[in-house]
Amino acid sequence: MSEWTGLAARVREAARKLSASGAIDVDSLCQEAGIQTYDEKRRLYRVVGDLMDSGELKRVERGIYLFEDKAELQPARKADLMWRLIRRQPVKIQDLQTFAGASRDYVREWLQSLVKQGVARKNENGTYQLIKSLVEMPRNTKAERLRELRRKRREAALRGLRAAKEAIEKAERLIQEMEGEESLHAE
Amino acid sequence: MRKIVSLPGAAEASGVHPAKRSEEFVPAVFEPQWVPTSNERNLQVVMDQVAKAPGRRRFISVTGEAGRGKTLTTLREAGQAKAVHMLMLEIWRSPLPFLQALCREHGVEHPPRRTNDCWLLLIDRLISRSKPVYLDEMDMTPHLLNVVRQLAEITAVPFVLVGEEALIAQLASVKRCWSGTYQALQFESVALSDVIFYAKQSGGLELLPESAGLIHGSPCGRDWRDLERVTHTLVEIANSKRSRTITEAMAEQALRMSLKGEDGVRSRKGVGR
Repeated sequence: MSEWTGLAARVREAARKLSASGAIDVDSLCQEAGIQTYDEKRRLYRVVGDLMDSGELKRVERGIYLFEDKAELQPARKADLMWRLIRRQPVKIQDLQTFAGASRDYVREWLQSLVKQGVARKNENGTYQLIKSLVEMPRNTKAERLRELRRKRREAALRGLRAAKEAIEKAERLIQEMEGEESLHAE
Repeated sequence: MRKIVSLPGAAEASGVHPAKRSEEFVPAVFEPQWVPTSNERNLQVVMDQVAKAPGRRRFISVTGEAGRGKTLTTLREAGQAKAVHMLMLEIWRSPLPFLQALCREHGVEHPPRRTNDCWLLLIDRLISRSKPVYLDEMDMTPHLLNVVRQLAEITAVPFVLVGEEALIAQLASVKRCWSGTYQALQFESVALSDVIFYAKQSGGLELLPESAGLIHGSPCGRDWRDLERVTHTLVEIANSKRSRTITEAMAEQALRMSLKGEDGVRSRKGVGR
């Protein structure tokens, strides 16, 4: 796994592997994700909570979960479609734009990342061509880093929202209690 | 997009005020766009049906002339379904290179060198993955049809065989293959509505009905590759004439400049020159 792979990604990957045999228990999840310390296990519980919030994990009973792979259900990413076409034939930026419905800047950035990784080359006539016979698309670490950053920000925002909701509910309860006490005193 | 600003003095010659002329026309830019066609929709429907269909031998044949968009449509469909899409090579004279290539597509970096080992590994991968497999240009390798049939039968994975018209005859010649064919999908040529929609989407051009009919009726209007070239030419003609509306004369000029040349125009109009 790359150096940018966080705990959440490790847990998700472990859950994906274990889900093939049905329900998942926390101990096997820890083992598969390479959790070694209590501190890491505490963080794993937090990740499990987040995955449950996002609907990827469902609790069957205490400590037993079912994993639903969201990546499998999502429509294909544009990069996957572009990878399929460039594997088939040398392509121009415009071809990929048309095929995958991606923006020109995104296509150019994606192709440049392939060139940098030594997987593709740019020909003189402006076409890009694979120079390595690969089946799986090489990972674009920069894009992954940005995606992970965005995901973390979204999760942090959701946590903040949840905390705010709880605080409001608590305040409402307190107000109701105070009002109840006041009415009792009045009687 | 840049606006064309006419040079001082040119306006006086044409008799139109320069400010008015520059606001009126914005040059068209040719940017090919994906146009959803009836062929694509039909394929999606068939793939949805076959996913629920009973039985073990499940072939779908996708046939049609070159340039009808078979490869790109099936490649896109395979991409959406995260399925394997593989090009069949004519040089494959025995099942082993085919099985090895299919193994590689299923994530086996170093496929076994023996046919039997490869076969067993592939069956394992196909069953565990359980996604359709698209085999493009299958008509190039008719001698592998029985291998594919047995793979489909053992694994119950749908195989989509893509090729030109000869593929139907090849399938029909092997009774077992033909009986396992779930649906034979024929890719139709470009429709008149597709010509109009493509010109609008890719070049921002307005095709008049007669010019659209002229392009569609010519040999260039039936093939997506030719249509792309003609639309590109039309954009250049439209820019030189400073109009986004394509008249019949402009369409004729584009057809004459295209690959089929004068024949394309003559075949539609039915007149000799």
